[in-house]
Amino acid sequence: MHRLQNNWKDLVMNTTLPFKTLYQPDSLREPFWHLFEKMEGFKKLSQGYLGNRLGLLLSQKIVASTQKVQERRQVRERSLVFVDGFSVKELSSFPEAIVLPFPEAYHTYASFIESRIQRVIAHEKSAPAALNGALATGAAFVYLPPHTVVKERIEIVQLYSGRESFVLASPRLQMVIGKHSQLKVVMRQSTEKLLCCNQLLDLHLEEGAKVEYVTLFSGSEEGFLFDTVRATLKGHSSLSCYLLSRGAKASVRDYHMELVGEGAEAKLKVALHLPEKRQEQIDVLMEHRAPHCTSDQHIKQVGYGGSRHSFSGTIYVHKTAKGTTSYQKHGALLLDPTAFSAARPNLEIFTDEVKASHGATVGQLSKEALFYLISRGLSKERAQELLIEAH
Amino acid sequence: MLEIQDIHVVHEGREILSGLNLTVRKGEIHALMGPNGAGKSTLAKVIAGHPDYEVTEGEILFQGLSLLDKEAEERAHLGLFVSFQYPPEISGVSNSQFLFHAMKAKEPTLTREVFEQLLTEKMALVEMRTEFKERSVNEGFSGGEKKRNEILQMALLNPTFALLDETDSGLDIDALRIVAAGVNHLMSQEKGLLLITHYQRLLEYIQPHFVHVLVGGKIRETGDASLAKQLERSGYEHYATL
Repeated sequence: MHRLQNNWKDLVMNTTLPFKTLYQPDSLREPFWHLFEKMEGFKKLSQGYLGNRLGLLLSQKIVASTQKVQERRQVRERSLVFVDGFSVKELSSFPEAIVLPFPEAYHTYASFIESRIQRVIAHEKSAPAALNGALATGAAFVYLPPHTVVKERIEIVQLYSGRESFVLASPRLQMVIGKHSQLKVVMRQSTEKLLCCNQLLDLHLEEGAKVEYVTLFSGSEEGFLFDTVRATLKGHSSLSCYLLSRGAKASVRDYHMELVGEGAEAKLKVALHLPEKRQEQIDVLMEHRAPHCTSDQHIKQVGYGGSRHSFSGTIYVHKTAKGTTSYQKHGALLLDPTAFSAARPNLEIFTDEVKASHGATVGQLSKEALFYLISRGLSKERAQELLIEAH
Repeated sequence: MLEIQDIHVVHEGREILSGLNLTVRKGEIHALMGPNGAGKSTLAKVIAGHPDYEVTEGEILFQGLSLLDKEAEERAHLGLFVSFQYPPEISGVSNSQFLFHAMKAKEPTLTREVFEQLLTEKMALVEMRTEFKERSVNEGFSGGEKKRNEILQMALLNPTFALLDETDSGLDIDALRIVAAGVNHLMSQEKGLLLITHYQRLLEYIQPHFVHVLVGGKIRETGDASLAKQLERSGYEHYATL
């Protein structure tokens, strides 16, 4: 383990020079590294369900991705493009918003960014999130001004150039959505052989803002993925997150949503389809700090062929969050005995007048339902597909 | 059309059918009656091709072809339809989605528009409201609605041979009338029908040409429609001693 720890240390230390010269000010990146060190790197994650797979990752000789020759074409209208984890302003287009590389943003919004980062560091418990903070030198900052309703969805696209050794990419996106503004975001994730993508989205919703955030991941047999989402919701704002994923060699997703303003609403809907040997871990912390907020988590998983999935979901209701409504549901459909699923719900409630519930189910395809469909002429494969889709 | 020749069937280690013979020809309606546990529903499962029922002896021919080496979906494509006594509820799959896939498996060129027209027409036949198109298959349906949904499937798939397993149980008089009218409408000189029932009541609406009494895994007696009336009075007890 020490050797593995050192590997990460080398990696970050090798970027010490860029620390001094690259875009993000040292003062903002260094605390993340110290946090990562304090956590003893990936120690905690390695003890979880994905331990063996993370071991494979940590035994690699890893280098941080560097900014290379950029693609010339713009991917599509209303997009934010990351190449090898670096946001590329020239390829991106988002006319309604202010999009800035992090150093520029820091000049303009220093006090907001500093306070935001301090808040994150004070509460952050995820090692990938800390590492992202230490390494993300090509972060993007997006500010959507108040009362801006963007009807067209904006796509976040990640592109990778060829690589010869194992690379760690660290895309980072900070979004601030102004009062009563509305936005739909589609994140197309990817990872592949010799690649570990460690991405982070930090989302701040002002009063009455409304965001729909869809993550699409077509899966990867060889790649590793860490995905961190941090969101703060002010009064009467609403965030709906949807995730569709087919898993990776190891994929760890960590959502932390803080409902800090009265009447805020957060939703997380996840559909996982995990084929042969894919893995996906999802950890959620739904934190209710203000009264009369609503949250809803619903995770559905289909697994087979030795795939593994674990879910850990906490609903934390502070003293200040009277009148909270919070639900959590997890349903696993395991198509054969080699698939694995674990759900660990956790409710921590410190006030009265709260409606909160959680439920977890594990099942198989109903043999009777399958036979019924087949006896009406559907092929076994089509019948299975229908039942899986229905799940 | 359907020839069942001396079949023996084992389910969960127990022989349920022990040398059953039955032949249904074109244009004929047969009724199969018998006490609980006689093997009526087992016969339905075997004809449908349920994998949990093992045929240890005998043969089932459908239009001259052996059914026993065919999977359930192939049997459906050949024109066989077996209604379920307890149709399962399938949450998340809409009735119209299910029926479209079922018909498309048989007729790959079928378009959604043609299907929708056909569905509306056949739903009217069994007096089902259009909202049942989008509801999950059998989910939250009453007993009568489930049975009507079975007849709707039969109407759409238009089989040459249908076996209806206790389609009348749990139906009130109105539902029974609707279901029976639907079945009669679908029956023709080119088709065969086998009704499994406990009661003579259904046979007042659908007139059978033959009535068979199944007791202890074998057919003990065959007669015309009057046999059903006689059974209503005498019950099955005396067959047990045969």
